[in-house]
Amino acid sequence: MGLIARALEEAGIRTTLTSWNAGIIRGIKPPRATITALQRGMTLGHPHDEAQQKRVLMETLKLLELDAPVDLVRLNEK
Amino acid sequence: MSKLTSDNLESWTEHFQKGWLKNFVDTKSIDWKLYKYVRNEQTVAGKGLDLSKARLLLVSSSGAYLPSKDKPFHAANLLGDYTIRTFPASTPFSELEYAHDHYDQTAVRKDAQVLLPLNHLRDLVDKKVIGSLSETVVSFMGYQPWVGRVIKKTLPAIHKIVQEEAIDAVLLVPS
Repeated sequence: MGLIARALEEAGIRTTLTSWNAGIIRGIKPPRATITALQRGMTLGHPHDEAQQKRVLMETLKLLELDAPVDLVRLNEK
Repeated sequence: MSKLTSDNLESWTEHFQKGWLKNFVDTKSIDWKLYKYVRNEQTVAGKGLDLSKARLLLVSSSGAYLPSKDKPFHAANLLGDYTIRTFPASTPFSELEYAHDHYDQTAVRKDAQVLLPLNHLRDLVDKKVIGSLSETVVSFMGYQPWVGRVIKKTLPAIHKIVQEEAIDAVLLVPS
């Protein structure tokens, strides 16, 4: 996902992503990303926890308003 | 479009072909000790935008697909599947299926919004936080160990949708 984000950004499309995998994302260096401590398979939050899903989503979307590259934003979500 | 995707693609590809891929060809098995993830030195620059005026595309690597329209991803292929599927953003979650053997699908089958936050995104459009949502969702199976194939196959397919739908911004949600 980080590689795709880089390529789209280079093509003039603004990108943002969220991931639970800090190690891979740090290495790839996408233009904008949030990092959580959530588990694989529930990237935005726990099932039916709409409040958490919306928090992660909004924090990730807000990054689109910033010029890239943006330092990785760590969210306190697990 | 691939120049900055990975700034050490040549050395990564050589390592991949001589190690992980050669072992797979020789033994038909996977040895992750031979795999290294891409590490970039360069960052990519891009101007921010006004989200309230942006047309947003959701790209998911959940392996979601619409069985009434498309065939599933080749989830059992140890070399990965580099194709994409699309489905309307208005698709009821109950009509989707998931073809991806490399993550536990329990959560997404309970509540698709853990990976496909389409109801939340529509709410944000209604509240004018986001300008508009693409009519199409892009999905692929996020098991893609061969970076060269991502660049040659997956990326152009996604970029084509981005152009067709006049997309300003992309939200990528890995599984």
